[in-house]
Amino acid sequence: MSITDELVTNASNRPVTRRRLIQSAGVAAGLTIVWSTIDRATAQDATPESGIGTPSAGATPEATPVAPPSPFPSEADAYIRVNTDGTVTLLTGKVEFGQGIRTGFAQLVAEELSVPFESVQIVLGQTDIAPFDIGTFGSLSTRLTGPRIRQAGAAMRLWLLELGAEHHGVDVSEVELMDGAVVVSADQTKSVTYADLAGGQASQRELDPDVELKDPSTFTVIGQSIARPDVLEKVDGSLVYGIDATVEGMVWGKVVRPPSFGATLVSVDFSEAETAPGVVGTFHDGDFAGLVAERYEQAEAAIGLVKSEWQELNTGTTWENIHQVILDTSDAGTILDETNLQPGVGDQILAGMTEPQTYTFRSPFVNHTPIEPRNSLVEITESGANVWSSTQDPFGVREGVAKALGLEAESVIVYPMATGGAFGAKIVPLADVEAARLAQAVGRPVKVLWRRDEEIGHGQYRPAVVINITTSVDEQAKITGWLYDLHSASYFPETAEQIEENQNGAASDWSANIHELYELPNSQTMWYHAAAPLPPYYWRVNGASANTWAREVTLDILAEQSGMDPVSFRRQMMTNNPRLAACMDAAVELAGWTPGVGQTGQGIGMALGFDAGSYVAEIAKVELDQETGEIFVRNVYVGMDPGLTINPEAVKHQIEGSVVLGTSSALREIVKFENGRVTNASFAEYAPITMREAPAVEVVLTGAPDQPMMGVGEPAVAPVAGAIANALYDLTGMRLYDMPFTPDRVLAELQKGEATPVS
Amino acid sequence: MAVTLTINGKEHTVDVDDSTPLLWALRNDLGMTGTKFGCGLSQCGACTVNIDGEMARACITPVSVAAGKQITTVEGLGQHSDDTLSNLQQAWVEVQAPQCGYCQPGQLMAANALLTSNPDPSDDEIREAMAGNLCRCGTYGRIFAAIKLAASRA
Repeated sequence: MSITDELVTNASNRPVTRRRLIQSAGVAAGLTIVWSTIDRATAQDATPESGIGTPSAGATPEATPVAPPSPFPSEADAYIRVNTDGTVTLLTGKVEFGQGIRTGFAQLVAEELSVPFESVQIVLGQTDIAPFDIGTFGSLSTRLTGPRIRQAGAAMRLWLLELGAEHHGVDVSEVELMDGAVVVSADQTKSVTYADLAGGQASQRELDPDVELKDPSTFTVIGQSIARPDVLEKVDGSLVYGIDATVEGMVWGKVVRPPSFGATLVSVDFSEAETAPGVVGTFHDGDFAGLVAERYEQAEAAIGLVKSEWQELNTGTTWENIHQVILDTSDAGTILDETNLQPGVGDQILAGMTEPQTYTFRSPFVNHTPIEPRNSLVEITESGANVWSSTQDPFGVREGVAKALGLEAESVIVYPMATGGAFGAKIVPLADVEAARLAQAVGRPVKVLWRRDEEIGHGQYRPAVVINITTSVDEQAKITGWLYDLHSASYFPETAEQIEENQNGAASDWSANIHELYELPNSQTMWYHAAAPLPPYYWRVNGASANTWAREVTLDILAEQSGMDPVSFRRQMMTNNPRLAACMDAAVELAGWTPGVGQTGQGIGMALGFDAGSYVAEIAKVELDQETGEIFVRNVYVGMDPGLTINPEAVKHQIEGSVVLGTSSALREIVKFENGRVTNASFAEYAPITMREAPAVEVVLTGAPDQPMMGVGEPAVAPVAGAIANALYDLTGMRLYDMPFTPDRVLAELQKGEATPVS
Repeated sequence: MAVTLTINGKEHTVDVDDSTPLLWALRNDLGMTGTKFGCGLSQCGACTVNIDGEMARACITPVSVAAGKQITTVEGLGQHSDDTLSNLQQAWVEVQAPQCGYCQPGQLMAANALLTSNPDPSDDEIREAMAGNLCRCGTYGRIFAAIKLAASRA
């Protein structure tokens, strides 16, 4: 079964939606970046045909998905092994950076195989023994890999039952699995352990998507909030992260960074750096230049002594004029989606509106900036290379390093280490390739560790967008039409050829389109592609943050125009979506909110979302310091339905973190740049929120055990900004159409005198 | 040159320039990697240690300044492997505070310094004391709860 098929199959009974298709395109996209430079060995297998999984203009989404051959192993033994001591080992290409995958996956195996949670060992992402995986991103672990692990578990269960029946000399129907043993149901003194029965043996079973999985009503491990065992190593400093990995003879590499994106290296002078303490060697090839020193701080001091001359692009684009540049440079537009497929439907929808209004929303470039900066240690050996990396995509690292060193991919072994945050920053193997090139140059193992200014100033960025929503509402409080125009760069770097091939929107992120949640008969979504002055890339939940903000604020505006409160107005558009309504009602009850029409002075606002298959409703309570203009988000109440929930406490943890990140980006985060040069590349200037600004988060989970498992890492990020914006309006009557909602922007609105704060 | 450091009650001698940040001496000379690098500019708190009981950022503290003083790192708070986790670490585990965990040693050391000087902090005192420690995963609510829990048991 293909990636695309799995995503579609997992979509329960809902029709194939854009988000899911975009996700599958995103999967391809994530690889495409690597392929464009690396010739990924698996590219042939994993590459969808051009445009696969994304509807071309005018086609229905259901009609287009075509399955690429699966790059994933189909043998159960690739995923699960019964060891000679009776423990079970799960192998997965996924990696752990705090999302709880290590724990959740172990629960899946323990459940299907009827073994204690503690007896499940896990191998994450080690490329010579773990099954191939596309990388850990897109909230795909539970919804894409999770079912595969359950299928492997079920295959092994059937195998053990057959072996046990043979051992006991009875029919398969007469035995059952119990706590790591196969017992005769009628006489449980007749018992044989997995170790005695199958330890060290291969099952030679295949994954079967139609295999009978354990009935949710019999679950004893899935659904339990088992404490994450690796927390113990995270409170005493013993967990080994990528940055902590060492190897005999290791030295430290540093790269000469360009002053701005797009700059080319004219000349480099290492003469002073070469004589600095500890410097082992220098390297220069094209635009890549770097040095290696015995100690990290020596490498950092020496790189400051390198003199380099660069030819810069000087595009004139800045963080202040970026939105105008996007509008000025956008292409003619591509229809991504519409509810009515007649030619010229956009004009028809517009003609059907009574007094249409256009609302314009602008969001900035933002950066991931995980607290552990990118790092990688590369050791070249006689047979290939070893890599210890802080990464979301060990198989991508393998390809990247192999290409850089001129090796076969299989001769490179990647050991993905505990990773100190990622959020999309650690998918493309940037530090890995740098370390590989320097290791080859100097003939010793090299570790490259980025500084904070390299992370923020030389990384990748969620691109800025301009969203125009043209809409109106009639006297019956019905939305008469909805035209959604998204102006943005791609969500991954593109060559001209890729842009030409992807004229169907594969590179855009138009997720959180109104059809994801609401019933609306007349709508159209257009994407206008613009160039990006900084390298664009996926950031936790991608464009859904901006899209959801724009949509949910506009819905609140229309609700007020209709004389309705935000909850009642939305409810009339979800008559066939009880799961979304349940999330909304759960959040309203949790918040103790009595919604009113228009500005009520309570400082409470709501936004709904749908991402990675999960429904989510969020209600924010805000306060405003009118002297400083600072918004304080005091509480966020969340109702979320991720379907079958493996570990409720771990899911709540993900939601809490999502809300904090969403709050941070809504209130503060903006990458400032001039001519491709990032000008606020420090934590003092690009300052995420701290404990002082973090809201208290309360969560109710409404998922049913008989629903498929859906994503939980990202969905709750998307509605935060919209909930905050609607709460700010409820408190002050102020609408901010530029994200982030910084104090200077709040004060500017207050000074206009139109807002009427209630406090 | 040789510098003698007293870390978690034991003396260690490192042969480094005396301007070397304590962070790199801990991590790369002594193999004590619980103290993390985040920014090198005292702007994130990942490298927080305690020096003579007070919060200090190891990334901007030269070994020459730390020499002769009592340095406590996360490794000195307690170790799960020998069942010596401190009250504070136990509270951290109970509320399952970490996600990726990378900032948590610094968070723990900031909280440890707070509770050493102020065993019963108010909510605002906790937020104030912890405002220099960033967590990108967004675990602030659980860190706050862990500090409250530990303080309630002290």
